[in-house]
Amino acid sequence: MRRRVIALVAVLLVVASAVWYGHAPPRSAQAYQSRAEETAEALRSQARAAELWVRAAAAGTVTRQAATVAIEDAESDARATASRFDRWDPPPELASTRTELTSTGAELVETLTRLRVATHERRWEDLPEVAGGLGPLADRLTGDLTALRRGLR
Amino acid sequence: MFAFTLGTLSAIGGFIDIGDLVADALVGARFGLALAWVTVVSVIGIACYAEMSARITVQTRRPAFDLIRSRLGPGYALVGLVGAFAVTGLLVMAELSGVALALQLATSVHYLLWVPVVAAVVLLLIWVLPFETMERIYGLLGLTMLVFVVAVWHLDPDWPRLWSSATTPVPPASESWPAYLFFVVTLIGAQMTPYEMFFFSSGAVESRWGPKDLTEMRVNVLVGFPLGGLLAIAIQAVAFLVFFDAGIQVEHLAETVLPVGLALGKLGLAIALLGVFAATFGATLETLFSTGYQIAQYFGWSYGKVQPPAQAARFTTVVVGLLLLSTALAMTTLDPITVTIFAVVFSATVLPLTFLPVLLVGNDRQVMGQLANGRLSNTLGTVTLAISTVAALAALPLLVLTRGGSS
Repeated sequence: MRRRVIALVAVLLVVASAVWYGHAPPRSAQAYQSRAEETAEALRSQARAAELWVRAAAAGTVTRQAATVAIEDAESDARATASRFDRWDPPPELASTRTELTSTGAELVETLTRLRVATHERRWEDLPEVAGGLGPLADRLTGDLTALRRGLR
Repeated sequence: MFAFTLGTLSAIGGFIDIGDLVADALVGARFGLALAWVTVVSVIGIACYAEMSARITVQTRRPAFDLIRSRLGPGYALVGLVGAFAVTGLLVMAELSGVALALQLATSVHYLLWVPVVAAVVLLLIWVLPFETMERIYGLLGLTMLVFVVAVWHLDPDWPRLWSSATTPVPPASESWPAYLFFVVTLIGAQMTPYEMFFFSSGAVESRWGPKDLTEMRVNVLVGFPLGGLLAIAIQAVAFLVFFDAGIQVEHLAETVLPVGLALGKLGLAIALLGVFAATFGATLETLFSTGYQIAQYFGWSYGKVQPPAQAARFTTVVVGLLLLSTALAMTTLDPITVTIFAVVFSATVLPLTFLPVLLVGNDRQVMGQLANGRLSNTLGTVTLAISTVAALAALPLLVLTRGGSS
C-alpha cells in the first residue's frame, strides 16, 4: 500500500513537472529568444496561409465558405500567438525583440481582422487589396527570424 | 465486393482518420517526405497484426480482446482496457469534431453547431442501419480520398526532389532531432491504432469468418492498409509541395485540403471534403464500436452490431454513453486538432500492450494449429513490437521535451 502511494505521488510529481515545463514562461535570454523564434515562425506561417487562401479564393480554386473559415482561423491563431508572446516579460537585452515582434504581430492581427470583416461582408473583390499587406509582413517576419537565429536582436 | 468493403473501411476509417489527416499534413509541411518511411513501416506493422488477429479469430472464433484476457489474465487485460478506452475515447471526440470541421469548411457554419447534429445522425445510423450498409457507404465514399493522389500529379512536382526528400530520413535544416523523433512517434500512433485491430477482429467474428474466408481477409489486409498508406503519403506530399517552401505550418483541417483545391479547383476541394467527411464519419463509427467491443468482451457481455440493439443492451449502452460523453467533451471548445495530436501520442504508448498478446496467441500451436504464425509473420510481428515498444517509451518524454512538437 505504501509503495503504491509513493508511486502515485512520484507519477503526480512527474506530470506536474511536465505541465510546468510546457507552460512555464521563458526565464533566460536563450529561452526568450527561442520562444521569439517560434512566435515569428508561427506568425509568418499564419500570414502566408491567409495570403494563399485569398489568392486561391480570388482565382476561384477554392470555395468562399472554406476561405472564410480559413481566414477566421488565421486571425484567431495570430491573435493567440501574438497575445501569448506579449504576456512574457523580456530580459533587458531582448527588449527590442519584444517591441519589434509585438508590433508586427499587432499589424498582422489588424490585417487579418480586416480580411475577416471583408469576407463576412461578402466584399470578395476587395480581398486581394486588403491582403496586400500580408506579403510584406511575412517578409518582415522572415527578416526578424533570420536576425534572431543569427543572434542579432 | 462486400468482403472488400470491410477492408476498405478498416483502411480508410482506421488508417486515414482525423489523426492521420492532421499528422500527415503537419509532417509534410514541416519535414517534407522525410517521414514517409514511418508510414511504410506502419503499413507493414498494422497489416501484419490485423492479419494475425483475423487469423486468430478464424481459428478460435474469439476476437482479440477476449483472447488477451484469457491468455494474460484479467489484470493485464484491465490495464490494456483502461489505456485503450482512454485513447479511443479521446479519438471518438476527435473524429466527431473532424466530421463537424469538414461540414464547417463546406458551409462556413461553426463546427460547434455541427457537433450535436453529427452526434444525432451517428446515433440514428447506429440504431437503424445494418452494419454492412454502413460499411459499404463509408468505405466506398472514403475512396474519394484518392483525390489527394491525383492532386500530387496536378501540382506538377519536382519528382527528383520528392524522391530525395523521401530517401533522406533526417530532419531538414530548420527542424531539430527531438521534433523529428516526436513526429515519428506521432505518425506511428496515428497509423497503428489499437482500435483498428479490435474492430477488424470483432468484425470478423460478427461476419462469422471461417477458414474459407482467409483469402478474402488477406486481400482486405494487403489491399486496404497499403491503400491507406498510399493516401497518407499523398497527403504528406501535397503538403510538402504547397507549404514547405512557404514555411506554412498546418494548424487546421482547412490546410489539409487546401493543396487539393489549388491543384484541382473547387470540384477537387469538394471531393476532398467528401473524403474527409466519409473517413472521419467511418472512423467515428469504428472507434465507437471498437470501445464497445473492448468493454463487452472484457466483461463477457453479449455484443455486436449484427444483433438488434435491445439484444445487446449493455454493448449498445456503452456505445451510446461514449457518444454522448464525446459530444459533451467536444462542446467544451477543446481544440480538436490539439486533442487529436495528444490522442495519437497516447495511442503510441499503449500499442505494445495490444500487440504482445496477439503475437503470443498467434504463436501458440496448441491454439492455432496449422494457422499458427509462420516465419514471416513472426519476424514482422517481433520487429513491429520492438518498434512500438521504443515508440511507447519515448512518446511522453518527447511530448514534454518538444512541448508537443512545437520546438
